[in-house]
Amino acid sequence: MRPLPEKLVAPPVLALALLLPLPFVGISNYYVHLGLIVAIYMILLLGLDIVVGYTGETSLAHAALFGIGAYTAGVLAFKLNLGFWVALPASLAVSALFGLLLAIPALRVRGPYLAMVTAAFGAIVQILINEMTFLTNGPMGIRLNRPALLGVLPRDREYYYLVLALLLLAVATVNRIVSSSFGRAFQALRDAPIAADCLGVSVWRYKVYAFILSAALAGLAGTLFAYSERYISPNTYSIELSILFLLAVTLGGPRSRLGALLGAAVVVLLPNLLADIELVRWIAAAIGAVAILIMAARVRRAKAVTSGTLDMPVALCLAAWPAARSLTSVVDFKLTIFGLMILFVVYQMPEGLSGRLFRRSGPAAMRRAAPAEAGLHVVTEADGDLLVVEGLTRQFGGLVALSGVSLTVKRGEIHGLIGPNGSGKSTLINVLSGIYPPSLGSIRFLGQRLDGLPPAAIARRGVARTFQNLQLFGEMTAFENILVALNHSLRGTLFDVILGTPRRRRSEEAARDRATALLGFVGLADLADEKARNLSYGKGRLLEIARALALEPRLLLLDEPAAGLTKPEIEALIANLRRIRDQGVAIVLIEHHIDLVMALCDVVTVLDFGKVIAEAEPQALCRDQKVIDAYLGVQP
Amino acid sequence: MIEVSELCAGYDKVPILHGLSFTVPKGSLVALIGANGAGKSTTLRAISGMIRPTGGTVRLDGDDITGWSSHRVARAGLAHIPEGRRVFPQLSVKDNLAVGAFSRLTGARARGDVAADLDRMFALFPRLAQRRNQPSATLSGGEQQMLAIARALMLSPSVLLLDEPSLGLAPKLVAEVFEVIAQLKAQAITMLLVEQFAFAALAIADQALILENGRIVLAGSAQAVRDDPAIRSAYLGVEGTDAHP
Repeated sequence: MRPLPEKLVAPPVLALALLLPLPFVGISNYYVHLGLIVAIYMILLLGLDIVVGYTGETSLAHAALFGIGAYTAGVLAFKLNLGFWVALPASLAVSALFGLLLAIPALRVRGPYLAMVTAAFGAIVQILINEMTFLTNGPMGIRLNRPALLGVLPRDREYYYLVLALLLLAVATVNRIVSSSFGRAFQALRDAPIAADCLGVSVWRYKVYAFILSAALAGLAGTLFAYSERYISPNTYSIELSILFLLAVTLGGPRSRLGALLGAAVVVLLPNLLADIELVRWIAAAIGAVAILIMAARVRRAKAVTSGTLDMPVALCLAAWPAARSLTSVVDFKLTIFGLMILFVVYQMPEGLSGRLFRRSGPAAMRRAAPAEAGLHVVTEADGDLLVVEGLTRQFGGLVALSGVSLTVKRGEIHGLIGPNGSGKSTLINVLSGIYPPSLGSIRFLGQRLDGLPPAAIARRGVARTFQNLQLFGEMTAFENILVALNHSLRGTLFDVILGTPRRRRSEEAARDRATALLGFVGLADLADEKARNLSYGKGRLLEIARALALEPRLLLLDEPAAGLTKPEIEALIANLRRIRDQGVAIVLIEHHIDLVMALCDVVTVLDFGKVIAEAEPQALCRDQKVIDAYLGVQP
Repeated sequence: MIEVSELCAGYDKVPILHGLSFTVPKGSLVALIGANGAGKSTTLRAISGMIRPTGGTVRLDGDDITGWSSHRVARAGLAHIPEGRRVFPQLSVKDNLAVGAFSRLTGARARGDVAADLDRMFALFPRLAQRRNQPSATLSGGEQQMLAIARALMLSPSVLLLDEPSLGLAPKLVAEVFEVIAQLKAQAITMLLVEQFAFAALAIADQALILENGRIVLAGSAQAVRDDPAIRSAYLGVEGTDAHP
């Protein structure tokens, strides 16, 4: 099936419009209430998606955050007799605070470890709610009354519209945030955290943002849930619910508002549909029939029938038809069915239901035609020392990777750094950019000490770098990769993003123009909308250079920019590096292509076993016997 | 030998290769030349099964291996050394090599063969012999590249695909890698070589293919390609040398 373009449908809006008349079309109160739960879960999933889909982390604590929201409302009503309208902002604030708490472990661990930590967080919260009887009324739970709207006590139907309004607000807010620099930063720290830090996008800060936003939405959903059910008790907010939320995000499709809707709908409605055994039998029979049709189509189309073309339909057939005939009750198998669904989604549609049904519109729409000429940031200053490194030593355990390295980079010069593999060149760049603090020695940049500063702070002071092993944001386009590095040029806070203030919009537009120009500068204009992971090795290197230039650096550290480039491409690179230098940007260049070093460098430092063995003009180096023995092999 | 016919492949449904046809005859060394993004690495990946071709056929010594998974292709005797080395960093040099022979240990051949092959590798790469018990993460870049080649040879492959073996190596080591390739050529191993140092590659290759935008625009003897001034300025750079090695 050919997916529909997402833009055509404007899916979240359309889907919500479909939900709008729900209470009026003669649907029973029971289904109106289910619609209410779907809407509330969707608010939570919008937040969970920020953590799971955008920053690529795992959270098994969202049921607990949901519970914290619910109990904020509950405790305010129970203890202070404060109603819905106080609970709403209070739950946002309280759960955001817990989100901050949760971000702390997320800064240290990832993957399965973070899943364990967040699961523990969830368990502790649930136990505390249960045990702190003086505050939460413990296992007895709390009863709540809905707020009076325009003087009447709302039934589910009226409350549904209130929730829907807040949901629309949440969708609009999340849409703005994820399509802004925040959304790009979240994805950047997922794909290549070290590179994000070295572009001045602090991983620490944006992870905290992501968890706070996510927790606040979970808290909001919790309060709405408490007033929807009008009774809350601790056992609702268990780890099973957290798992269900994760299932919903995966099933619906990450990084998609429509996905949150579909996911919420499936996890809420499916258990209820399963209760209708007649319907389940029909569905099972239909699955079997569709499987047969798929099988027939594949056999007709395929040149050779292999096990791979038939395994899925055959398995579906074998499972579905006996099920249709023999099942008498499937509610007991709810978890099994969810389990099978998640396996199916992970294997067959990693982009989830929304990714399968709707094609994402590319960021091309947001890109604007811009002048082809880069117009690099020109630095005009007198000559002098830009970077002064003295006695720099870096040890890893017993291994001394750098030992007493001193060098000086003058303004506007290209400073070569050569040496055998493993001589400490990349370590030097890593220490200069703050990834490793030096064990001894000092680094001065424009007179200020850099040693000991975190990478993001060094980047903001004007030191940009590229990486020997490419550190691109793989799932983002080439264009977006550069936009991440332009974060520093954007004006305004998160609230400017949400409100879409003019000063924010103007700086966003300026950043887009600049990104387009920088892509043109390195000759990647045609590949602007290509995902970075699909770029060839050499093109990826050029993208890294453009991305580093987006920082408007005073000093550019290039780690083997010509690796993987062919001769004609190297000639183009030489011309580009000269242009960068002519704009007043100094360059430290690690490179094994001696012709490039010869053509470009004003001075070259040679490292061997972590020590400087020579420093001279390139022509002189080629005659230095020490350099020939250690590095060149023969005189070029 | 490898016979590729009308090969098409790409990523995320974006086509990169548009119907490549070429043959790497038994025992010969063919160099694949082209700009970045022309599809050189993609060609190697499509042959070795790291990505699934979307069209065309690949034959290895006469057998159709199109669409085979990469471990099956490896067992059939085709070894692919991907760009950027990728040794198992925690394993020792010896264990890395043993993993290379893994598919043979479960096959018909005996362990004794593998031990003999280990010795053969250490003879071919004396630097690795000195470091046989060191974790491979502690090797220098050049040594890791040697290890990647040796590990692939442990398969006893009939065909070797080499993707940028000199990438990121100091000039002295680049020369050593090319010496190894020349030695393998002397042992009549069939090789398809992608290499940034086009002139050095053409100097040891029998034939050359020039790839542009996923199509072969020129195929001929390496000597002829090297000596043609028009090709030289279009694909190999104006000066006509790599400066090194």
